[in-house]
Amino acid sequence: MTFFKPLVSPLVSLGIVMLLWGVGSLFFDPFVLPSPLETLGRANLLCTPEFFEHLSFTLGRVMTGFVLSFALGTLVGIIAHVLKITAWVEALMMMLQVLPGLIVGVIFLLMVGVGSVAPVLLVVTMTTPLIAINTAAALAKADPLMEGVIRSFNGTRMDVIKDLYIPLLVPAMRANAGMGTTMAMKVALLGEFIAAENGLGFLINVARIYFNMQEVLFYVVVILLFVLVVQLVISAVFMGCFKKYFYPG
Amino acid sequence: MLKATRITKIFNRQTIIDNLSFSVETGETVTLMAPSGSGKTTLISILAGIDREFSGAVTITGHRPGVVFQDPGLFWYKTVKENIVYPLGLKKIAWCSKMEARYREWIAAAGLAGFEDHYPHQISRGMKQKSAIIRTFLCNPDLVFMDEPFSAMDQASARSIVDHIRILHPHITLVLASHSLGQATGFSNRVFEVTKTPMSVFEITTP
Repeated sequence: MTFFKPLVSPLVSLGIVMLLWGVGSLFFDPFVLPSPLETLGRANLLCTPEFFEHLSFTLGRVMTGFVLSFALGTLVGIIAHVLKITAWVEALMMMLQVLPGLIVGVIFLLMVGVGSVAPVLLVVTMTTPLIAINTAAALAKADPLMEGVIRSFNGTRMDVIKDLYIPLLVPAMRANAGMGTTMAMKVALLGEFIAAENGLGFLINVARIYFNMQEVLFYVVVILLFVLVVQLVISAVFMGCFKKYFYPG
Repeated sequence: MLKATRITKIFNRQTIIDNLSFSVETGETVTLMAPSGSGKTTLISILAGIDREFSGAVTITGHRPGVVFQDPGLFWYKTVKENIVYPLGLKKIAWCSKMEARYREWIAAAGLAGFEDHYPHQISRGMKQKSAIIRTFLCNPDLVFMDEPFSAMDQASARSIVDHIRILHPHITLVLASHSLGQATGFSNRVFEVTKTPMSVFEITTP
């Protein structure tokens, strides 16, 4: 039963989204908003080998961008804490977060051309600030008393890092992984929309040119399912292996 | 023996401790009695060697000082037992049958039997304080600084803990910080009254 518990809220959320979509489709022409049943009914026609090839391009870009953002954002957050410049770094990261992805995407398109590099760069630019801010905020929670406790027992700097800072980072890393992958997916799609000749973002762009809303919404469902699966995997890994590091409640 | 000589601490341009000197003999229990916010935690940190940003000198004869903080300072992700034995790993003290016996004795005396697998958020504040006290005393220190160690305990529990310390560590030197005159006179050989900022200290009684 415990294994299925994390599945409940995401599946209920998906059900609510589908329900709202279904209700909304009653008020619009299928040309504007086709119903979930109509859309998913075409799944067998849309799930071609080409579709899976496009999907693999998108997933590759999302994962590459996310891994780079995760590493860079965590590093920036740690450096900001160590050098006691968290406020400055947070202000800088906020500025980066506010940058419109569309504009940055066009700049990367002009810089590196069409392909995988521009979407990945866009993911890194847009996701890293989120992770850096979250990491710095988690480290700021470190209680000086706990450091004093470790020091009073002859603990070294390494012991403080191992026993205080890393355990504090675990919940932040779980949040970063969840938010980061969702953000990476959204931004990668935007990058593909602007600067790629393959991937789900590219497919959505082509479908919307022809106002093929069934196809557009089918890709949206695929994206939703991917994000759900990733969230469940992250939740299972962290709650399975690192549950004790999460503050109660 | 502990000797504090002309300790001065300035923080944010404010003199917290001003030219403070006193000494404690080996085996004594001394209480520094001070109102809240007077800087006694700062003084304990200086005496214990945690805060090194001060002028003056602290001389300690002996090699095994320990500290019990006002806040229990338990790791939220460790059980009561894991928290208690935590310093043994840092101090490279082996877990042997003698240590196990001492641990069991402390757990029984503190009323923590049956709570060893609980996490800090699952026990009361008094139990957390007891866990922190055992954590320090399990390392067999010869001088212990205790900052408001019994603030979350009733008088009987505090008395029981002090008695147990005296039985297991008859020659230990204790330096307590407290705001309670009752605890100060009840547990101590000597009591120093500590005045508010800037701190100065003078002996008020020998119980």
